[in-house]
Amino acid sequence: MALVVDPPRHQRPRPEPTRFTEPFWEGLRAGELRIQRCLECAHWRWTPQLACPKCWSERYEWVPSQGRGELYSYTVVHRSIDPERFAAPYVLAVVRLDEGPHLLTNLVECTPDVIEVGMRVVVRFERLDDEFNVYPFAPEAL
Amino acid sequence: MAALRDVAVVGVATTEQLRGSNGRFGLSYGLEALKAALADAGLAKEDIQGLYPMIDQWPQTGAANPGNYLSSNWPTQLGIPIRWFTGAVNSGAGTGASAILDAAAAIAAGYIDTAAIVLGMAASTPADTRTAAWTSQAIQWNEWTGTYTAAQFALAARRHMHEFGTTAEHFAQVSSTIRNYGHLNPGALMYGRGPYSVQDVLDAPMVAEPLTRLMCAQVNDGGAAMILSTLERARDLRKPVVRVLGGADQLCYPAYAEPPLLEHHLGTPFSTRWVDDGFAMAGVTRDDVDVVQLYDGFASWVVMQWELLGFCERGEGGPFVASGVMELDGRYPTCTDGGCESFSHMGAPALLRPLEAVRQLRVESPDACPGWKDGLHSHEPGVCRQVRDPRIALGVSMGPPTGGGNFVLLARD
Repeated sequence: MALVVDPPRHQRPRPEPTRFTEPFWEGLRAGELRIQRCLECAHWRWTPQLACPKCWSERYEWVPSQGRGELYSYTVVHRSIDPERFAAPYVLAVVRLDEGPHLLTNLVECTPDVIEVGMRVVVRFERLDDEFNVYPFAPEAL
Repeated sequence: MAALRDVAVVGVATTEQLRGSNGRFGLSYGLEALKAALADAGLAKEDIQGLYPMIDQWPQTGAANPGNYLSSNWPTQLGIPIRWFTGAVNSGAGTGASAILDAAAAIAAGYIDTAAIVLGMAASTPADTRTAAWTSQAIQWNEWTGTYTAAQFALAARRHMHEFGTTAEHFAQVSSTIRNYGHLNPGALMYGRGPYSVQDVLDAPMVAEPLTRLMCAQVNDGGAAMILSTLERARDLRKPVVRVLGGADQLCYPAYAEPPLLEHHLGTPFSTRWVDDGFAMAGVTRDDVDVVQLYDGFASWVVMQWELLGFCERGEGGPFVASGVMELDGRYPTCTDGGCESFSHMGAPALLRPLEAVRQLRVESPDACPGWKDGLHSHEPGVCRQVRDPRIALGVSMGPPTGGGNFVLLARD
């Protein structure tokens, strides 16, 4: 998937991975949105957990999601969490991936008037710095 | 083990609630409230055996984390031994309905006779243009999005609107009602700042759509405390006796860490049987309840609590609140002190909702009625905020979008 290298609108905080979450951020560097899938029962899970909530197996793999899903909910944020780092208005969103899990993300590349709950969205990879990409979503092309 | 004993709330107090703290520590507000609650009960500090504390900072360390560090400093600071200190109880950082239920369980079982819940916060008012520090957490898959508490609740609110047709007017009705109680309460941070019409709430600056500023709690500093003891002892003390009938607690998700799903807010991924269990153990039905103190950090969450607690069907919270049910002359007067939105929200105000339930049951409600000090109230909406002769009250301390929560049922003896 293409890397988005637009000048960032926000001074986003830098993530601080642990050795457990590092494969997720490594995936983003490689242009993949990796999600944990249980090797025993095939359950996809997000947020990352050591053991599967369904079967408690600690055997899992990081699998690239197709990066597509539907908009579960959104909010246009007018009061920024920190005006010096996040330029309001910005759109916070929850996306339901086609694989099942829900992610908290930003919705980009659209104006608020075209946003509808249920619309199809696709992941973008936004460069944060030399080490990190983040994963906002944008409306799928019609 | 001996037979279980009945338990009562014997003392309550709140300090002034204010924006900015004049350099005081949260501990200072907590101590002020604790002394006042002991005086309210007619007890001495040596009577305290169990402690449920929440402060935002120990002066010795300056640590912003109120958690476990230096928790064993409490006996040193208070000059008394603590015989029951369970520390981490759910929902609201340890001073809410879950603390009341835990204290009641320890007292009922005979581990202790008397417990104190103390809350003091002095670092909640934002010092700069950022939202208050506790409104977000440094979680690696959330922090980059610019999320914070109001936006998290807005996401669930939008989904509720999508699924059930709930409107911004429904949310505005909640805030108008609650803020108009606070307008009448001399102890409220927002005393005299209203009244607010539904349109006033809708016209306020937008925070995170669909939530306007007047649909969100403000943040402030202050203190509060509550003392619990055996029912037997309570009957020898100063104030009208308020019994702890029961309640329930369920933890489902870590606050802020998970994507805020409506399903989590309404409790669907896990069973909501805990709610029915809490009413059953208290021996009352929803029909028996006279006054309700919901956790109104955000107006949309109030709509959802009516559904979660089973006072209306899932998805019907909007029309339910629009019917005027929360008004003083409605079926369930709600957040009668002004709630988180107008009375106080000091970052972790979980104790304040059950505390107002106690004050309603005692008929101790300062308002615009000339005879309120003698318990004389007109019960006129717009003037009075005291419910007429309440017997049973519900207090909720459900704060963060956790999909869990807790509540306590209290009764006048």
